[in-house]
Amino acid sequence: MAGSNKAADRALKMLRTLPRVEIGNIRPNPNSKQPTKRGRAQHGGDKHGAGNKGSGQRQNYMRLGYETGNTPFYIRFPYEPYYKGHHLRREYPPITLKQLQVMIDTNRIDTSRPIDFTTFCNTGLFKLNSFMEFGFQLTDEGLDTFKSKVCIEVQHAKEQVIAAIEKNGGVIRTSYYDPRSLQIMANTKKWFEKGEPLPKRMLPPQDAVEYYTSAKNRGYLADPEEISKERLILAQKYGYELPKIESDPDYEMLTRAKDPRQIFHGLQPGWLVNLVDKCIVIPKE
Amino acid sequence: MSRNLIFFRNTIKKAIECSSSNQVRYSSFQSSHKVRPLEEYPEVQVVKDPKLWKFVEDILPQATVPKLVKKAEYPTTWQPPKESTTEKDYFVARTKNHMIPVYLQVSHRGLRRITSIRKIQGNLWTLEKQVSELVKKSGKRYAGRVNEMSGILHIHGDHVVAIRNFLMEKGF
Repeated sequence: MAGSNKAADRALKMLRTLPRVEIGNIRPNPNSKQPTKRGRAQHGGDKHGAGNKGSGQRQNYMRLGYETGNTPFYIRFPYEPYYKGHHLRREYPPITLKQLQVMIDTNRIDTSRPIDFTTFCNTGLFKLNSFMEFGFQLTDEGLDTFKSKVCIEVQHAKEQVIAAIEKNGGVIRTSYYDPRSLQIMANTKKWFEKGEPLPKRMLPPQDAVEYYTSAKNRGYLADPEEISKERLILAQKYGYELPKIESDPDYEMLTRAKDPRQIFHGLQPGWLVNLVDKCIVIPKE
Repeated sequence: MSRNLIFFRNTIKKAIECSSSNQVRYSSFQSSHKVRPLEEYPEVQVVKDPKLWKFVEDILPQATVPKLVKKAEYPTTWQPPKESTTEKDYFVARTKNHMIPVYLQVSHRGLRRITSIRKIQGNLWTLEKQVSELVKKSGKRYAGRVNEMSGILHIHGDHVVAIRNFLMEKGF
């Protein structure tokens, strides 16, 4: 043990002679410091094409979809512009099935004749209020209490309304009238007093062609065979027995249809009606 | 004075002539087209066929409200007036459009609703009593005003449908 004590003494003796650890003689740990690299070659020490300052140089790119302060597109309130361009769209003011039934009950509308836009205007209860209104649509209010057999022509009708009319043995047709024709039909007396020949009815605009050529909508430009097929399909869908028009005593009235170029039943374009002498002027050719 | 008038007329005439050369308005005789020689117009035939004229008559507007015609059935809530009514004290006439004259007057931004019955003849107080019972039955308080002079009954609140059905059931 005495030997180990001697060694300790010797170590202490050596320590006393060693220099103190102080600010003057400390240095970094070996390999702790990297020497600064010297920029080399043509672009040595350059910005590597990232530019100077800002997110470009730091390459902290904005997150995807970030619009620098705007509410980003994907957070913006989602909406579907149903009413976009509403002031340019065609309007069809509604006439309900109940109103139609009451007009028939009060003898305002005669069901022994085909009903069209003129008939509604002639009752004095309906009129067009704006140049964007292109006729009437038949709506389903009073659908269950509708009990009349009519041959009706409107400008727009839903499926259930078509079913209600056809269930009672009637015929419905949707047809387009251009604004000039509508003006003539809205006040027939005024037009005839002008003493001008009846014009041709215009064909529907491009965005209405699809509606009026569809047999499902009973469009006036649709194939009649397709319409009779669709009548049967609708009867099966709504579960009623389709009354036979062919054996109906009013067959002639129910199937009376206007030409796509014709405004009034029985009157051709180019004819001139004289209300004073009660005669019609017809060109010979 | 007369000279001024002549000058005024001449200026108006000139103005009309100018306007007719630029713009054609068919609404007036002055500005419409002059009649051309007859050869320029197409050949026509004047037809006086009653069958054809029927089509014109069908589309001419009705001058008056048509009278009621008896039908086999009336599927909607609208019913024609019955031939006789059990009510002896008063009578409520239909309007010229064959409707029951019961109306709703909304005022004060929709806060005041007053139902009014018009065209009442006879004893209005009997009708008022019956209507008050009708209103009370529906759980509302009754407040009414009788105008015997003009035959009008005003009731506070919206009771149009109930009163209309009530009067129709009575046969008016």
